Amino acid sequence: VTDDLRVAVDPRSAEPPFEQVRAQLAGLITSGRLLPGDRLPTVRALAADLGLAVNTVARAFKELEAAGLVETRRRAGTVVASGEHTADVAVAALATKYALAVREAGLDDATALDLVRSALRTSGQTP
Amino acid sequence: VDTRFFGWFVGAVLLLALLVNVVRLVTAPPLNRLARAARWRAVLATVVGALAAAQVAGVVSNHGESVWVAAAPTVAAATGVVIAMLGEWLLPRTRVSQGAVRTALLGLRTGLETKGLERCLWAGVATTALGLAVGWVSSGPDGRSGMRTWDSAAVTGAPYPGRDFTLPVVLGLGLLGLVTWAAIRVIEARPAMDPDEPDLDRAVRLGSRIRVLRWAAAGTLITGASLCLTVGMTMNDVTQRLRGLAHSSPRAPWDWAQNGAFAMSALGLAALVGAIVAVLWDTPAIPPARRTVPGDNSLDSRVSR
Repeated sequence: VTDDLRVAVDPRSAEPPFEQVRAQLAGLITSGRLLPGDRLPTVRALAADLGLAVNTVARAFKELEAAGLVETRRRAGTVVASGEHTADVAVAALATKYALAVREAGLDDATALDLVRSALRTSGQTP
Repeated sequence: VDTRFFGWFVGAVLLLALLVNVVRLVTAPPLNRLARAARWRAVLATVVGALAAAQVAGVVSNHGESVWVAAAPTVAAATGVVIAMLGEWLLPRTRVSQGAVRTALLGLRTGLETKGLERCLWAGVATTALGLAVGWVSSGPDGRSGMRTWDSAAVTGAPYPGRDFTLPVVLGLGLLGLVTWAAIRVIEARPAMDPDEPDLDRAVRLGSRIRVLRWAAAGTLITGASLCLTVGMTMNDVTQRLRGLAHSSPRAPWDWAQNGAFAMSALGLAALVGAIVAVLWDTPAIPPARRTVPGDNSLDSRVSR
């Protein structure tokens, strides 16, 4: 979970805070920015950072769990569930990360694509 | 083992830790007000914790022949943990005006692993448990001395962590475990100092976690060391005297009770070294805040405490 992933709560919004939290987390999960197995902060920690009551964040987490987007594991806490991701979404998220790394390294598009082709060739035949 | 030895030992190690902190403070790069306030509060928590722990250790130890002296390291460490927890509540944080949008970083509390110190803590618990178990099974009828018998000869020796010492040690350990668990929860749930300074917040949070765990690890390791060293040295002395009384008693190197005493002494020394390592465990340097600009007081005005 990188530092660019944030949740914001606007107290002046007509939408209740728990719904704001739920909607943003659901958006991050379905868009693939949060991947299966990614650990969410604890309810208490997120509530403290957002200045919300613990019950408010707990309700958002409960609804995410009911929707099958997250699951609570005994030792790991609340993590993104694996069932909600198609392979396409997960790979698209990884491709976005790869593209960002390419830009940071200053490589051009042709070199970046050559690297992908090379990696695909060495990983074996398509099914 | 003379409790004064532990007093001097703990005092020397704490003094060394304090000197290291002072040198780091003097040589550290300039920080903005938020980072500076966090660092000073951390140093204050360490110094006040050390003084309070030393005071409590002195009070618990100064009860003559009381068995409660065995709980002194863990009770003193619990005091240090409580002070560290209070320091966490006093950390500066950004004031958010009424009605403003509040943000939280989802990955703020990642990268806070303290596996090495946790291993030290569990090693201390295991050493303490072993010292208690060996002390229990080899203690004399009075519960406060070690005893060996051979034929009709019986020799006892003291000081020895026999049955009577189990309750104080277990209670001290339980108290330390309880306050450590509570302090870790307080650190985990502390609101972010500033959502735009994740590295600063992470360094402060990891530092707080280390401060709590090094008290806990040092408390358990010193307890384990004192139990094992006392068992080892007293049982070795008892063995030597038994040989004088019972000439048919086992001789070195085939005397397994004496070999066990040597092993306990070695384990105690290792735990003592572990305690020094734990007390001197370094906290991460607090990075300068990213938005620090000389003469810029915009961040300073946002510090609420």
